[in-house]
Amino acid sequence: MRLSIDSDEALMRDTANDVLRTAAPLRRVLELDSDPEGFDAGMWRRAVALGWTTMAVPEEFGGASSRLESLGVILEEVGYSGWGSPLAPLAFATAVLSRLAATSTAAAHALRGIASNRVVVGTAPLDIDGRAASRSTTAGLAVTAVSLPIPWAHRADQLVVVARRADENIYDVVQVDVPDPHLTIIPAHSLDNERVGIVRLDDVQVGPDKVLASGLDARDVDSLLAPARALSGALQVGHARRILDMTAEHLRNREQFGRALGTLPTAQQACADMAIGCEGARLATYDALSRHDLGVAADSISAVAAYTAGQAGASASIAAAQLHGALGFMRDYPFQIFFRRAKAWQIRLGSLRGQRLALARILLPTVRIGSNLALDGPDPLDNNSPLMAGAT
Amino acid sequence: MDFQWTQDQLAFAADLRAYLDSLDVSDVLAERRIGTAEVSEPGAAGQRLLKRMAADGWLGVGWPVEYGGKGRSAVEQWIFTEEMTSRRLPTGGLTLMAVGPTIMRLGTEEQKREFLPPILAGETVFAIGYSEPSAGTDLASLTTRAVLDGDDYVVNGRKIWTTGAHYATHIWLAVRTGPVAERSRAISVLLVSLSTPGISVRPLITQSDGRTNEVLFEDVRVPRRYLVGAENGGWSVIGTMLDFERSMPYASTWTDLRRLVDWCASDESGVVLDEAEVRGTLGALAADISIARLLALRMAAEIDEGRRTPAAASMTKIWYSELQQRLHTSAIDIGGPDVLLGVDEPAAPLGGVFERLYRSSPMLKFGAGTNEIQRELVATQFVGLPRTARRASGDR
Repeated sequence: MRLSIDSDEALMRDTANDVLRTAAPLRRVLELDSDPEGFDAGMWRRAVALGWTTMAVPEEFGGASSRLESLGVILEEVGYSGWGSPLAPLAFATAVLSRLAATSTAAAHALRGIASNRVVVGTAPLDIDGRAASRSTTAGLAVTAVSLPIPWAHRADQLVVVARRADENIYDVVQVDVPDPHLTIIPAHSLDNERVGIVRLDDVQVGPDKVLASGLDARDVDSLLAPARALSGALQVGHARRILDMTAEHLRNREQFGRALGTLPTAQQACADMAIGCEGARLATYDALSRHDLGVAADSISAVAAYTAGQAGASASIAAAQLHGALGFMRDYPFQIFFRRAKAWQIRLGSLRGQRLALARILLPTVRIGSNLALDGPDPLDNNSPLMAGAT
Repeated sequence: MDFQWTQDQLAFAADLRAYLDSLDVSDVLAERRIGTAEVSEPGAAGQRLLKRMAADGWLGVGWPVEYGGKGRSAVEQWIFTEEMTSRRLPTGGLTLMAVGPTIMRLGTEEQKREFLPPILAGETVFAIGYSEPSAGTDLASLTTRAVLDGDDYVVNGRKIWTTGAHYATHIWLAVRTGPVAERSRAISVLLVSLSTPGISVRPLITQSDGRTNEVLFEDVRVPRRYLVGAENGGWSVIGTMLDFERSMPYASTWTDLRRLVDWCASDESGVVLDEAEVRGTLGALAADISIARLLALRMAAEIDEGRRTPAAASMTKIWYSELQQRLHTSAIDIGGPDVLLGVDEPAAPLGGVFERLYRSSPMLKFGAGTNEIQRELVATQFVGLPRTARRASGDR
């Protein structure tokens, strides 16, 4: 058991951090925040060239088959940098499609597209609140949604949409090509520096070749979304870490009453809580990612990662806003980028109500009387437990 | 990262489970009829169990083999604590996991020979004598005095919140051996038999019907050979023991959550488990328990790796103690008036466990180093904020 990243990943992290610090420094992040498009084509090309957009695509579809944990390391640094881009939504969609590729030629085709630098993003990829509705047709499915705010949908080549068949309380996952005659995407600003596309689907017809999965129940969708949830944890841990670091630096340097603000007990208490939230979420996130890489059960810990990372970031942002005070409130002060990103990304995963219900749905059936050597999957001391098989 | 169990660890867990399954612990459970979260000392049956486990070679899992232990890793110590606590069985607590290891590290060879074997056998049990009526968080201001008279220290003073003093055999005693103004530089630690003349123990009953104690020392003579470390060097001895104490694994509270969920799902509860607010609250608690588990495992894994995230023990303690209170508060909030029924009331759900656990819920937050000070440690050691100046003289 080793609960720290290895040297290869540490190098990857440091490299990503260097690239982002140089190519997307806070000054540039602030500029983009005020820019109507909010998109840095140069940094995007850099990310593509570094392989960040294709690293998690399986090799058989033209990608690098990198470990999900490695992609998580990159996303954590992206979160830390505050750079808004389609990278995280693309990563989430890649993870979901990779889950489906074995059984869906549409997913395999989409992954090849990603490997060829097509941009695929998905519905608030972690939300099954059913804001998109599907129905069966003679030719497949039809999907309707009045207004879905999907990050960077207006820059996407394809959308992955989780839709609910209301009458049957089951879910379908479909692919929608951009453009489509029955699809409207209107770019919009959001709480943070990501840009969203307000997606309207007017009974978009989805043929069998575009149905990624159908007839899923809620738990099936949870399993499908699990790797994306774990990746979202990494992004949000990056936010929480940056907020903590910025705040600590501020508190060390800002003096009032002849001493650093960081000596104030109340400031210390608040920073301690930020740190604990961040550390706990980071452990859950990398536990989830490493399990996905091992191919063992990870639904529970992935939901925990997404939720706790969101909580860590959002609560840190509230506490930190207090500590930065009026300075942190100013548009040209970088902290406000992370204040907004932390909350926005927390709820992009779905409402808190939805996240907590997902936790209940996934975790509560597994909570047992007695010791819990495994959070996910059966007790490892059961015969034939995959955890026994997976033990090193 | 690698969060997977090794075959060795799983084999250890399997052996432990098989051993515990072979025991009849009904008398222990009858003594500890309230939930896993309660920091409750073992009663007579619990102490018999510990001695039985010691005789069977199952105590001192993490102790070095040279001192009679099993030489197991910290992660395996976590497995042991998780298994024992989930079955509501005592673990040997501070004596086994903090006092013993401190004596191993800092004691004289004579002290090791005298104390380690009976600790491992479950025969010597220590209560911790730190706090005083005027010295709690500010332990360095303690005033219980030990004055050298020939080959003995003569101890006079008063300790409070000395949990377990009524059944322990010894007290790990922090005393002042130099000027009060020297604060932490004038403190020593003595190993004191509780049967020494001049010691009296008075019960203090907590709001959760637990017992702690006040211990009075009147001209208590303690042989000099029971000084741990150097005279006036006790602050670092205390620090070493605190390190071990804070590294003690926290077992998860899944059992408490499961009982709450099952009760909510039962017809008798009147709780609508399908209600989003109820399910969401329970789901969030499950997530928080997962985090507590990971923080505790991280501590254990790092001990085995020989590395330490600064203030990791403080983080774990804060999270676990506050989660406990959230869990037990949620049980009351969700359960409604029925769960307020007292622990001895026939109509109380699950024997009144919820109300009892709620009453005990504040304790872990101020005990074992109050959370405010723990947060200060996280802020200064982990986050890197400057220390708050308190009284500069005499403290390290």
